[in-house]
Amino acid sequence: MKDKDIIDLYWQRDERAIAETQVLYGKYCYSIAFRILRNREDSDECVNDTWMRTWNAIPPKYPERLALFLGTITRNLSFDKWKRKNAGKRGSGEMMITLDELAECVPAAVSTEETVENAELERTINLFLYTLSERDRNIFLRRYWFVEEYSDIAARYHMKLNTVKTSLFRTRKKLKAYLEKEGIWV
Amino acid sequence: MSEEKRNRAMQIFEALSAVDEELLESSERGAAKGAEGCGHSQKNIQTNRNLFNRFPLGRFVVAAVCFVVLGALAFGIDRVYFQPKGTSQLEFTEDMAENAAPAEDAMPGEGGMAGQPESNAAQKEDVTQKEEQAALDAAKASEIVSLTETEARKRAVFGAYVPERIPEGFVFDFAAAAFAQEREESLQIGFVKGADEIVISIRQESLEEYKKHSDSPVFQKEELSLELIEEQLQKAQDLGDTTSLGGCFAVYFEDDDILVEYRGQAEAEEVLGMLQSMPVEVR
Repeated sequence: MKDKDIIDLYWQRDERAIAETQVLYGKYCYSIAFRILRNREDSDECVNDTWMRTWNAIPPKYPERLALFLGTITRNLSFDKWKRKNAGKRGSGEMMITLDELAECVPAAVSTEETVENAELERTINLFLYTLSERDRNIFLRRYWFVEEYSDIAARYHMKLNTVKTSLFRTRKKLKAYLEKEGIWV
Repeated sequence: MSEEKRNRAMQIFEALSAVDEELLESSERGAAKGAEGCGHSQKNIQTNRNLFNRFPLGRFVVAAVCFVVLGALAFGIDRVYFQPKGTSQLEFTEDMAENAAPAEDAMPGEGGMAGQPESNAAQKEDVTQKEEQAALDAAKASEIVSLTETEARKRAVFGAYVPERIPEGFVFDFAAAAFAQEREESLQIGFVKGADEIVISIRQESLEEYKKHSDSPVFQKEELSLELIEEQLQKAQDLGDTTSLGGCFAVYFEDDDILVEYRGQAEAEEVLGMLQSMPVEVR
């Protein structure tokens, strides 16, 4: 079944929409959840919650790219769950490593500035991504959006592990500089 | 990491959820494009052009061969589509269609290849193994060392390949050494001039090895000429990789078995001068 047909089922309030979404995008969403949570039960739960959220969102929404629409919901739900489970913990695992890396992008504190609004930060990061080469941008998104491991990214783009590492290292530095230049204080 | 810093990192992670969908989609497309270096097939174009230059009749021979192959294909398709159901050829095409169908977890319009890492990740269910892998990756990730320009120039072996002559107006941006098992694997150095940048990647690697993972054109130092470099920059423009005089190719230095990959936007003459200034005596 095509995306359009599935979305039409949602609009008709036909419950087969959920079953069809599960068939087509179950693994895709599960993999996004699992990379963040590293736990089967939690990942399954997030995927099921994704279907419920989607059911409630369509209509009125009509996603242009269903996979990404679902993936974004899964990512948000999974990260919320991860935060609840890891609140105040030192922790380890891929998600913690990912955050450690992203912490390198946090601009140096400037006391006079106020914390930026989320929407402003989103807009700035989005603009920043357009300043990158396609290659560096893709690597950055695979790592920090999809939480893919270095080795998976290297395999995906047929690159050497070091190329991936260096690209990410550099992009993090660039993001930090960009946020500072834009006066963004996270 | 302090709680405060982690919270800020989380804010950035969350902000990434609002990334334009086209960018995310592009990260899927990249999988099929797949290439270290330039990310296009310049090498193939170059090879074909050289062949045509050497053999002027080559293009006519190629055209004739293409015509014959297309004819044979058309005949084959015709046979497959008009075979009675249940014959071996029909089963074969159905199998092929099944194999070519997108994976369940692939993005819309993407083939199975793009979705492969997702399905792989979904299958990796042994959490312990994953944790170990994550720890390993973390260790690997920490093996990138940031360097100053002077430090980069002083590196043993690779330092000699940091260009002495930098195109006018470009200033040092970054340098990073990548290590694997305590051995320096590569050195990358970047220079910027406004929005333009030059990135030089230096690594010890044989020509054969490089060709296995990269489709960028690669030349010997002796082959470098203004014409050749202009051609590379022009090709990058033709392929739509850049709107300015950008390009990506590699130079192989046989004596040290060193590969220097150039990626950036600068005038051909300056790029040539820069590449010819390698290797320099290590200070």
